[in-house]
Amino acid sequence: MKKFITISAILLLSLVLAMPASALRSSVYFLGQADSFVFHPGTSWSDTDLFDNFKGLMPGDTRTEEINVRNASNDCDTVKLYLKAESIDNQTMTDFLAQLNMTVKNGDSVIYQASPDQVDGLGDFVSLGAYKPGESTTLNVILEVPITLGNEYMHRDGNVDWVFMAECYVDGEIVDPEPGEDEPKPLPVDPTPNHGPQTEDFIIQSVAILIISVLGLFLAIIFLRRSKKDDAEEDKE
Amino acid sequence: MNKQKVLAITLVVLLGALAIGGTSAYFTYSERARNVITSSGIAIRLIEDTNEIGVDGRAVPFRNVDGVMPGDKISKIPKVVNIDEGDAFIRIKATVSATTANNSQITIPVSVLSLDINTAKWTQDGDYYYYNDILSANQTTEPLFTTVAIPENLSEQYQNTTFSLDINAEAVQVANNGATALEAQGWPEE
Repeated sequence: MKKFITISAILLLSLVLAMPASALRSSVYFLGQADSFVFHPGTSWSDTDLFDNFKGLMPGDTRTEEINVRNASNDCDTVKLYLKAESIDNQTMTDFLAQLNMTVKNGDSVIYQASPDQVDGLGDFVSLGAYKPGESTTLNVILEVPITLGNEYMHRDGNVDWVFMAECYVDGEIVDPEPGEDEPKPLPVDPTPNHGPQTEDFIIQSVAILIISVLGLFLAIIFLRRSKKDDAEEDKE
Repeated sequence: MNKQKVLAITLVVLLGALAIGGTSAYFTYSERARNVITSSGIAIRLIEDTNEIGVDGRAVPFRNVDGVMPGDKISKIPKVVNIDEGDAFIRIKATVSATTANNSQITIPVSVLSLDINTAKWTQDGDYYYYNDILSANQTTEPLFTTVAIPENLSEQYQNTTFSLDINAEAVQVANNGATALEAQGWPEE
């Protein structure tokens, strides 16, 4: 019996240790064309909350949150991921958030460093890189609370809204843009999350390409026929 | 126009169109994550009971006592409860003031009254008694003392005097604030 318990304990410990690190941290999954993004784990404050470690802060705290952002799609050859922050319109929240300092790193590069009431370097979409299915990046978020934070900020809360964007490439290889380059134009973001693909531009582009291709092919056939006809006439002469 | 040139231009147009098609075949998705940052806090409540048990089975709260004579022992049991979620260091200051028979206010040393301080749990430093343990949420300290004894040799100058034994409890956060209450910073300004 004792042996059984020991073996069970070892197995259980092995299972816990074998758990992927991503299971223990906040994650953003891009699931592909049908399901878009899923945020994990969420909290009692918000279903899409990635800041599980930033609850119940006390003066002098320095907390970190690792957020794994993964291309979990199986219908995109490559996905380009982008992030931007949105400012909130709530004075009580911004007063509180203005007391804190937050740094966001994508790998080794700092993409944000300010008090979380500010959008700072995330005012426009910033590239997080290009990822094939199964690949991911990790955002390291560090939040510092000054030791001088006063009693007036006890039991406060503040929202930090982030918008993730994915470009799903279904045809051809793309190159990972250099930081600051190849940033997309900001999307008009509705208050409600956008789940579906934005297909209008894609349809217009596809139709234009089709028309150009058909015209090109048509012209080529005409000129080929005409050249054959010319050759035949030259042979007769 | 030379037919080879025409063919070449046509192929360039076709290849150009295909190249445009190759780099523009993508979909775009976006979604918002609402992340929330919250702060904690500390709050305490001072309770003063007696050693009497009421009909409800609970300790009877302390009430002012009249007609006290030298040698009397009064049950007064001050304790502190952590009523918030953050761990706290606790300290208490006891002060004694008196209003004499001719209505003059005087401040007298606490030592005029005899208090059975629980020195196992509270450490005196200056005018304060510091609780030796961290007080977590919903926990209650051990009493600072349980009995106020009026000395038998109390001077006659205190006849018909009203004594006030004031207990003031303070709390400060444990997080990032030293290992003990004596080391902690940030106590309320006196």
